[in-house]
Amino acid sequence: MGVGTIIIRRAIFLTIALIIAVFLTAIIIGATGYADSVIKAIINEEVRAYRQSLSRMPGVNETYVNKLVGEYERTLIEAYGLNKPWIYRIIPLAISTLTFRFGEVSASATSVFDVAGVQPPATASDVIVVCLPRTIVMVTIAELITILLAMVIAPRIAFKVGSLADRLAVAYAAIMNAIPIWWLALIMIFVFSYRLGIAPQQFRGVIRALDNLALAYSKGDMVGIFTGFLNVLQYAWLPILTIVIVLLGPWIYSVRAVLLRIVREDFVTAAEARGLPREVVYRRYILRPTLSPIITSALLALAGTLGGYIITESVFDWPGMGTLYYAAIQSGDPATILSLTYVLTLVYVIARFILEVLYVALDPRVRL
Amino acid sequence: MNAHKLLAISLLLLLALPTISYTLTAFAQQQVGGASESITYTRVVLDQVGEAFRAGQIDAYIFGLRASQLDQFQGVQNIRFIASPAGLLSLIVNPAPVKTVNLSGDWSKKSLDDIAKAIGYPKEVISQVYYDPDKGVTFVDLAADGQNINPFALKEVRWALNFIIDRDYIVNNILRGYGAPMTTFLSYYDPSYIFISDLVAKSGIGYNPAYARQLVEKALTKVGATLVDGKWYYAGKPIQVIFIIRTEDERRDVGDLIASELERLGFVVNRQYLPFGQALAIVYDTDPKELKWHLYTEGWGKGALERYDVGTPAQMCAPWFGYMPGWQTEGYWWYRNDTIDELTQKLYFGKFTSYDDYVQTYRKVTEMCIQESVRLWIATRMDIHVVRADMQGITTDFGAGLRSPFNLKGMFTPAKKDITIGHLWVYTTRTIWNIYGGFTDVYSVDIERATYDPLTWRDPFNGEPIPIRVKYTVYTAGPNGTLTVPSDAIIWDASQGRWVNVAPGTKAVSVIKYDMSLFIGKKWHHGVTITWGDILAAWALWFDLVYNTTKASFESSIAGVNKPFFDTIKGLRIVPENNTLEVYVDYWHFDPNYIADYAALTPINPAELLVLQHVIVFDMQKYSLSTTTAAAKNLPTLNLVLKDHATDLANLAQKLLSAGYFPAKYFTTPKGSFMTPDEWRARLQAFINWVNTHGHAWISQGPYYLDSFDDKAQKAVIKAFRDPSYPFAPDFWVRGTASAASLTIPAAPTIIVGNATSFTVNVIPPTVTKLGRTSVLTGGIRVQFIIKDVQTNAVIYVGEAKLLTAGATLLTYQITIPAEVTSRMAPYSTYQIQVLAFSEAVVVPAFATVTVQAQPNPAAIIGQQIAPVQQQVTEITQRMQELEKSLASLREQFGTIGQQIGQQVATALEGLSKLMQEQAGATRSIADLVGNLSSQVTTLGSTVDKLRSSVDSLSSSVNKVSSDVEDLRSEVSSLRDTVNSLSSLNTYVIILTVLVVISIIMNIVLLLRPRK
Repeated sequence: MGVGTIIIRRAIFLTIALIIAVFLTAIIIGATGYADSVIKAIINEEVRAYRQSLSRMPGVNETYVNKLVGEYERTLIEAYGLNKPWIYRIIPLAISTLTFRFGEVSASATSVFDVAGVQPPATASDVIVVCLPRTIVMVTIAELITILLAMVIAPRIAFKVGSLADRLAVAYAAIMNAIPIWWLALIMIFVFSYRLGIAPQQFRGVIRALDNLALAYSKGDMVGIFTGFLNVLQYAWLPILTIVIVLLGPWIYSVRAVLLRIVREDFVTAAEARGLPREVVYRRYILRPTLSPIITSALLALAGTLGGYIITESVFDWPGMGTLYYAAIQSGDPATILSLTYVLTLVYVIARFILEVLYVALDPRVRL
Repeated sequence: MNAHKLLAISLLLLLALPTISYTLTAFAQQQVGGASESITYTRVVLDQVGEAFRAGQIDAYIFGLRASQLDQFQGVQNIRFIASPAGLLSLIVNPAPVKTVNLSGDWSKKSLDDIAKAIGYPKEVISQVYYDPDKGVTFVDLAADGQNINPFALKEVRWALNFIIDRDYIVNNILRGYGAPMTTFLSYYDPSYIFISDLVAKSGIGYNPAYARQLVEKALTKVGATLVDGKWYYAGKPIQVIFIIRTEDERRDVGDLIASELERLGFVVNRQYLPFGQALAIVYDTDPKELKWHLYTEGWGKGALERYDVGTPAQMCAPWFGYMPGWQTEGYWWYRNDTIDELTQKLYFGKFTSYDDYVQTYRKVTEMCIQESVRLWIATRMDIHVVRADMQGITTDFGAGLRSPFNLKGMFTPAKKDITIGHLWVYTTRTIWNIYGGFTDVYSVDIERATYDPLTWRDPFNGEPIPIRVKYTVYTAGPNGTLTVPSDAIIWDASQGRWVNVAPGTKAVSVIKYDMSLFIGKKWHHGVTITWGDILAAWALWFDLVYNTTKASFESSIAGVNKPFFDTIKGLRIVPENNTLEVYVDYWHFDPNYIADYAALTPINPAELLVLQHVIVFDMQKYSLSTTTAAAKNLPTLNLVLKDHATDLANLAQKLLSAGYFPAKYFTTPKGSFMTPDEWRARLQAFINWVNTHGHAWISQGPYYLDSFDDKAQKAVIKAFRDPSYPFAPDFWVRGTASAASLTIPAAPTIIVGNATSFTVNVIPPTVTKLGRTSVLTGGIRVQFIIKDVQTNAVIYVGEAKLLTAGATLLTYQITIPAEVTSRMAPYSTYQIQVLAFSEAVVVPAFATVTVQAQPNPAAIIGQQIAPVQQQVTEITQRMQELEKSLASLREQFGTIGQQIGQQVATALEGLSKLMQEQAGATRSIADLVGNLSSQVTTLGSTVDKLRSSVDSLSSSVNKVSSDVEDLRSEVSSLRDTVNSLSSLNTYVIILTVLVVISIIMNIVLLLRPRK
């Protein structure tokens, strides 16, 4: 089989997986009645509030009140789409989502609008487009910094197994593996924001900062871009620092483990025995074979960051993708749930596809 | 030298600074407008409020915190908590039957025995009989049918549940004291509670599981259930109940507590812990008859303080309102009660004809509602607001707490002119700023309230409507008469789109004459003068929204709700000469302030802003006013604080300006126009300028204006409106801190079984302290007392005290316990007398409790002791009588023998009778002796009583001291805990930071080390 055929077969397989993922989600939220029951509960609550607002009206009677409440309920049921069975709402929605025509966010999903900070009516793509950059500047960038740091630090300790530095790094990795990011986030906020006062106390302002940055970018205003960037950084440094501190340990540890395995291979020993300089051994004999597992985990991790961290985001009051996903599920909004599933699966699938191509390019064995 | 001088000068300056700032604040107090120079609203999430205060970031937190969220304030200095009732917790019980039998024809009037015979089930299992006249069928509901049982379909079992809820425990421990127990839909934080407090007391509801067990046993045994090893069985199966427990808040703990009590009663409890959506889906979206749930922990928000409540009984007890099981959903089984429906509708729709009628109806429905026990109340929950300790100008608002407009407008601190208020949100998707369809969430309302002055508001202490930016006089012919509306009064004709004179002969029940001097000639925030044009436009545009069919169908949810109100408006009459607006209205209430409040329509926004909103919504259909229409028509909801919406309005104003559009119809009455085209143009221009300067379109007339609103950054700033025409100085808003009345019982009464007892109580009336001055509110005080048997917790008497003397600061009341009541008491049993003083001026009542032991009646004791003597006396008398009888017969015998011997015998007999007389004398002396004895016993008894009461008081003071010591000890230990936890947190943070720093340094070192 040629390289092209392998790649095309992979592509087809991944595309099918993507379609299945979206349909499965649609069926899960539709057939189980989950979305309907959440929306029904929201309608009930709104109808209850409406009825309560009808107090103190002389000259009316029960019939009038019930008529009003009934009309109100019907309007809501229609507006929130509950007048049609799920199969006519959610399945067409899944199909249109697959063709990048994301649906309208239901007006009942106020928490989705709250997270995104946009006014209804809006489509799922509107809310995703505003939430994605927030997650990128916090989680993705932090992950990227972590990976780069790990790549630099890990080789230095991998060659000195058992040294103090190595043992410290392993201990650090173990501790950080046990600490949840959101917990450290709380501590960091209390220390840096409130006690030391060098970080912001209210991180939600990052929305405004990102807006300003985008505005400056669209205008091509270089000074605006620079100050906007600084402004975003002012909000982002503490979350990034927090994530890096926690993730760095496990990352160093795993890169070190991958390196250690290769360092002990026979061909490395042979190369060293041949008296090749360490630099050359490292670059030619160690780095190249380790690159493919490291790139695999790096790429998948980066793709995974786009889903955001739900709890950490909520601690920093940082309305990113994780919070959006949570809000969408909580308010049973099919359009947002499907679009998010689709987008995040798509990113993952693309990452996988790139990896497939890279494997073929990096590792000759795959081609055989 | 120089250095010294500098130091001295700077020290002096430092000393002078507080004085300068104080003078500045004092100056601000003299000016009109808000008490602070500016207020910034900012978002602070719930778990960081303590830190935000610690860091000095905020001066007040206005979102209501729950008691469980107060831990974060441990160790935070210089703050104060302000608590106000915010919601209530209740338990809804599913009374649905397990089976319904249909009988044709109307059986609702027949006896249960007849019905039982007809359906072939015992009458004890019948839980509800309902006749449907449309179908001609009588539905007979059964609580148990031989196979299944719903114990809660039985009223007696539901009633018993009242006694397993330990409300005091819930308030003191779960709500940590921030609450009040409730045994009906009102608590003593509700002004209307004064009408029903005796009913509540008489119901005798309290924590008494033994009594509950008794009741349940009686009720369930009757329907054929059996108690085996403490578990209830029916038809061979254990009786199981499904308890839906909400998980988000204190209801989880409350649910667990009640569930355990139910288990102790012998039920198998299936606890289902569910959040909002899932819980509601089961409780409201399944037919109660499916019995997917038996009990559910409900939570309610609390409305404004209401002196004469009309809505709560309907909301809490009436099937027609839709909050009772069945929820008025077609096809479901419904809990029904026609009498409650009728009475609550009479209250809700204001059909009562006098004060007495209102009170009687309210009492009747309360009584029925308590008995039905389909909903059981648990507690009123308080919201806790936090302010800096030095915050001044605070008004005690028993309804809204810190959220009260009196507080927002009057609050300031001498330390700074610009204050920051934290809130959970400043903007959310449902934070809509437009007067027609918005202001449905707290985030918009809590800022808006500072920016406008209403015509009327509610008294913060008792919920009575009071005039704010108006003076009024009310004339009424109600409830049954009518007044003639003058022919020059006007009404909006929506079909012609103009003001017309009212039809001749128009009648109305009441007229309110509002003096609008505090509006006319004053300024809107953008500098435009308030005119009659604004007032006319406010009314005209509302009328148009409701009656103009195009507008009403576009915004049907707003029009539908408001139409009944505008239907009652029969005409307006403007008298510009004395700034009077007369409103003729078909509304009556026994309290004229309620009539004035009912018809008050406050001009909140200037005319041009109202017209622009109508044009952009109804003519252009670019926005909606309500979120409902927005959802239905896929439009954005008009939100005056959002920049893009404001810009749209400003652009529209610009367009209207260039097109020369002038909506004269809104300002023109048959008498003439109240707006000139020039003025209109100037207004549009002023509006455009405002939007350009402030980036939003919220223009109003209150002591603060909205300076900026940033939805993205969650920040809003309001600034003091210091226009000299503004009528109120900050002092106006300070209504002071009210302290409830207090009550003392100078001497504990002595209760002697069978004797009437009276004693006095002293009431210090409620006081209001306002800017250092305290005044006393003596009017409308009622003192009530409740006597409870401590052993059984049963209420044995409820009575009202009589006013003895009324001083300026002290009122003395006499409490009389009738003999009829004390004779029901058992000697040496303990009774608790709870005394409550209610005041019409300040809602919270005063309490005092005294516990006494009933003493036996001394007369009765003595009676017991002399009984044997009396017996002897009786016996002797009897014997004497017998003797006399035999004597008489002897005499007769002797009489027959002859007169001769008679003489001698007679002498002998006389001697005998003398002897007998002596005997009688002896008896008399015994009686004397006994009399003497009894008086001695009485004195002894009273001495013993005195001794006992002094021992009692001694022991109670010992108890108090020991409880004080206990309190102190617990405080010390909690303090120690706090200190410990704080120090451990600190160590934790330090260790962690050190670790992190070490690792970072290590990494950097490793990075920088040259590779070998």
